[in-house]
Amino acid sequence: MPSLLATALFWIAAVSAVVAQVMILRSTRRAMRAGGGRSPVLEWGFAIAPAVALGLLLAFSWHAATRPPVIEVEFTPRVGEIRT
Amino acid sequence: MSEVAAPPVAVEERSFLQDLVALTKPRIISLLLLTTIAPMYVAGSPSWRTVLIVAIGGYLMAGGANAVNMYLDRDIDNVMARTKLRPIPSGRMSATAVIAFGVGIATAATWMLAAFVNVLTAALALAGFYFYVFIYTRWLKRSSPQNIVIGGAAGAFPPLVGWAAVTNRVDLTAVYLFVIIFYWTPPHFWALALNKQRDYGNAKVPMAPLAWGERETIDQMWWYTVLLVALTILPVTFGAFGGVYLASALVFGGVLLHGVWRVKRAADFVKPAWWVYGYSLLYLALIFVAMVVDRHLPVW
Repeated sequence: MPSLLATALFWIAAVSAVVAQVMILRSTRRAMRAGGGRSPVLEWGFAIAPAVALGLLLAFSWHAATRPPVIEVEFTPRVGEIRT
Repeated sequence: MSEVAAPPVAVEERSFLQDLVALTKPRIISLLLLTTIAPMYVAGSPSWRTVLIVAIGGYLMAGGANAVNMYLDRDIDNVMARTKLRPIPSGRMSATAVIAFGVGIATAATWMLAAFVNVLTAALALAGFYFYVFIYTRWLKRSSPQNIVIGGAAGAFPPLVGWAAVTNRVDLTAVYLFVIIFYWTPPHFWALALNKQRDYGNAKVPMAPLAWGERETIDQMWWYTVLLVALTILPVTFGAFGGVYLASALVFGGVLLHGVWRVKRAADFVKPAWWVYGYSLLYLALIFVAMVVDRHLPVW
C-alpha cells in the first residue's frame, strides 16, 4: 500500500478512535454522576484502563507503520562457490 | 423499560449426553471457534492436525468455561426466562456434576493444547478460561454496569490462541484481533441487554441499560462501534492486511454503523437493536473471513 495512503488512513482511523474513546469516557462520567455503578473508583478504572491501552496500541501501530521495511534474502551457496 | 415477550418454550425430554452438550453452549462456541481458526490461517499455513487439535482443545476449554459459568450462575439462571431450562435450574443435573464436568474438560483441553500444540497456546486458552470464570462471571457480572466491557476480554482470547498455535508468539497483528473482539463486545451485548432488561433486572445483574439508562447505553454503543470500525482499519496501515480486507472492513463496518445509528435515532429501539444483535454476529465472522481471504489472495 502506498505510504501516503497508509499515513492518511492511519491518522483518520486513529483520530476517530481517540474521539470515540473520549466520548465513551464522557458518557461514563455522566452515567457515574447519575449513580450508575457501586464503586466510582473501580468504575472509573474500568473506563480508563482500555483508554490507556488504546493509547499504547496506537503508539505501537504508528511505530510499525513508519518502520522501514525489512527485506530478508535467503542465500544458500552451492558447493565450490565460496572461495577463501 | 422494554421487553420482547419470549416465545413459549416447550419443555422437552433430553438425554444426559444432550445436557452435557448444552452445558458447553455450542451455539456460542461456533463463533469462538471461527475467531480461533481464522487467525491460524492469517498467521500462516497450519497443518490439518494442528487445526483439528486447536479446534477440539478450544471447544473443550470454552465449553468448560461455559459449564462453570452455569454452575456459578445457577441461582440467577432460575429467574431468567432464557436460562431457566438449563440443566441445573431444570433439575436434570446436579450442580456438583456440572462443575466437575466443566473443570474436567477444561483440564483436558489444557493438557491437549500443551502436549500437542505448544505451552503458550495452552496458557492463553487457560487465561481466557480464568478470565471468563473469575473476572467476568464471579466478579464483574453482578457488580458493574461495565461488566461486559472488561469481561469482553474473555471472549477476545481465541484469536491469540489460534495465532500462538501457528507462530508460538503474540505480535501486533494478533493483539489487533484481540482488540477487535474486545471493542465489538459492548455494542453486541448491549443490543441484547436493551431488549432483555426485565430478565436482567429480575436476576439483579446491573447491565448498562438498567444502571445507566437506555439513552446513555445507546450513546456508548454508537461510540464503541465507531472505535471498533476505526480499529479494524488500522492493521492495514502497517501492512498486516491489504485492499480486500480494507474494502471488507469499510463495507461491513459501514453497515454496522448504520445499524447502530438506527438504534440511536429510533423512537422505539426494539427492532433495530435486535437487528444489531444479529448482524454484529455476522459482522465479526465476515471480518475474520475477510482477513483469511486477504492473506491468501495475491498482493495488490
